[in-house]
Amino acid sequence: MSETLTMAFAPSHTATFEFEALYRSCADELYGYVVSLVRDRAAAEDVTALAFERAYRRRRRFDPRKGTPRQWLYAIARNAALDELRRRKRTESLLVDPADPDVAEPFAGEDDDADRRATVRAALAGLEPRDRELISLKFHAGLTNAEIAGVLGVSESNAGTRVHRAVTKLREACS
Amino acid sequence: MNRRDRNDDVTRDPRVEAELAALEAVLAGDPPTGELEAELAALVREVREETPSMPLALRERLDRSVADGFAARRRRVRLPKLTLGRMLPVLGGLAAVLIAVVVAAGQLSGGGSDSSKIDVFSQNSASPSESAAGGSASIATDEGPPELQKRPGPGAASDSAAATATPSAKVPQGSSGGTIEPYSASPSAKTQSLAQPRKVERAVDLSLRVGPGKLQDASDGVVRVTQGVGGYVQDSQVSAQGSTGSADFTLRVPTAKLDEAIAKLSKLGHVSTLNQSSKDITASFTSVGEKLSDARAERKALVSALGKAQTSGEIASLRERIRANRSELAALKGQLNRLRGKADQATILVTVESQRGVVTPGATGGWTPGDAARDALRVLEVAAGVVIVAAAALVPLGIVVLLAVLIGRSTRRRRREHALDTA
Repeated sequence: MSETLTMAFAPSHTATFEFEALYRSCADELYGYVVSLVRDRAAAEDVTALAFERAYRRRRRFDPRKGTPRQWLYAIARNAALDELRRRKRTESLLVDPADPDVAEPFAGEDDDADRRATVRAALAGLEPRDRELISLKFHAGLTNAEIAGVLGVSESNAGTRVHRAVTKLREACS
Repeated sequence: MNRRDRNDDVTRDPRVEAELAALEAVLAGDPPTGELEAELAALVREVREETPSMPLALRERLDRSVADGFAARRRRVRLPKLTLGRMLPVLGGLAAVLIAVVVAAGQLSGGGSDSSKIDVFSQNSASPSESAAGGSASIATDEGPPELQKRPGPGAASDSAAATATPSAKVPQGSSGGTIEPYSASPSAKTQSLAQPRKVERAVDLSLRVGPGKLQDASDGVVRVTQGVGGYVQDSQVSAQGSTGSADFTLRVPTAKLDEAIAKLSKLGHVSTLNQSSKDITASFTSVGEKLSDARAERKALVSALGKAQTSGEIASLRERIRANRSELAALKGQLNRLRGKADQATILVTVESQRGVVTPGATGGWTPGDAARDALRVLEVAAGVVIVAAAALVPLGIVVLLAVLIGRSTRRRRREHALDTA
């Protein structure tokens, strides 16, 4: 999919790309990624919308030599989400929002599947934010290690190691 | 990137490699081939099931925004994008203005090769030669020629009276030639008291600069102008070395045509100095005239007395006195004629210097290709100077701005990462 989108981006690094195709292919996964970062669905909606708008405004500045369109879009979303976290941190002393029960609290199920989902949800919630972000980028968004490296600003090798470390923590938490 | 991250870059456990490969295979949809793959596949499925789906309202809102290009959300007044093509005319204009300013500054400061430090109308009580040598009592270029003074009477006049100056000549600012406008006397300069005409001795020291090879033309022009106004060349000396050299002239021209002569001479080259002095000789003229009248009256009386003399002694004495009176009359007439000559004929000391880098105005030749090449070189020199000065100012500023941008980006990135750590 990313290759298809990359092809949609014209060879010139200043060319206009098929933004709508990128939006259709990434919208749900991007929203899930943002939720994993900000841990608040209402805030995640705003951040997701803002990320798409920023990407649209900056679409002519996209440089395919620096990565895929998805990587570029997720980097924009990540910056928007981190800005939201910073903003929230500045105002948290004035306004304390209740945690989003759908995201933060484990679901109390009755059967084994429900228990398993609750376990996974609790394991995800218990991960450190950076590990949770990596799980989201890998499992939800399906980014390659190279794309994750581009989003986080690290090397591909380092991104792979981080992904492995986060997956290991998740497996241990779920076991 | 911390130390652990750097270590992760260079070393990786084979087991880690294997697990990452298994994870990639599971994410790619490959069927599980072992226990690890099966566990990871289940984990991926369970995690994906926990993925919150995008709310329908957000989906619809984004669909609309994408369809209309996010126009409805934020309508900004966007300034035109500053591209090099659009900026080029502006930058060119700025560069032209800068060059013009630098050239004008060079002309005013006398630093240019074709510029002259121009025109001093000097008005003092010194003799012409003293004025030319000293030139200390000089006034600015835009000061005009000296105006002949009107004095109440011969008794109050001084032989060394200094004239006052009135503005009449102006220097065109920034002109490449640096010439002055033709000298024109103010009306008052030609006006003398009708009741008591003044006798004023005037002298001018004029220095001209011409381009190489133009010395002979300028010298010929000096002679031609002098003869044209009814004057004559009292003395001349021309010294030439190759295409450069100098010439000195002592001209005598009718005082009434002095202003006209100066104006024409000024057109022969760049006027580097113009000193003018005047000396009121009315008192001397009047005094000699009165002495002459007295001597004539005395002669008349002596001749009358001689006609009435009866003794040989008286006759001899009167003849002796008449002889002395005749000598006195001759001397007084000579003095009066010299004074009249000083008043009627003005002296102009002209120095013509032929130098390289001087563009002579039209009177002495056209604008040659060599002149054009020199001007072009000069423009290039000025342009290079402007570029160097601009670079000297902009490069440090650019470095500071670049550092500020880099520091700002680094700080913002660090704060964002910190926000994630504390989330």
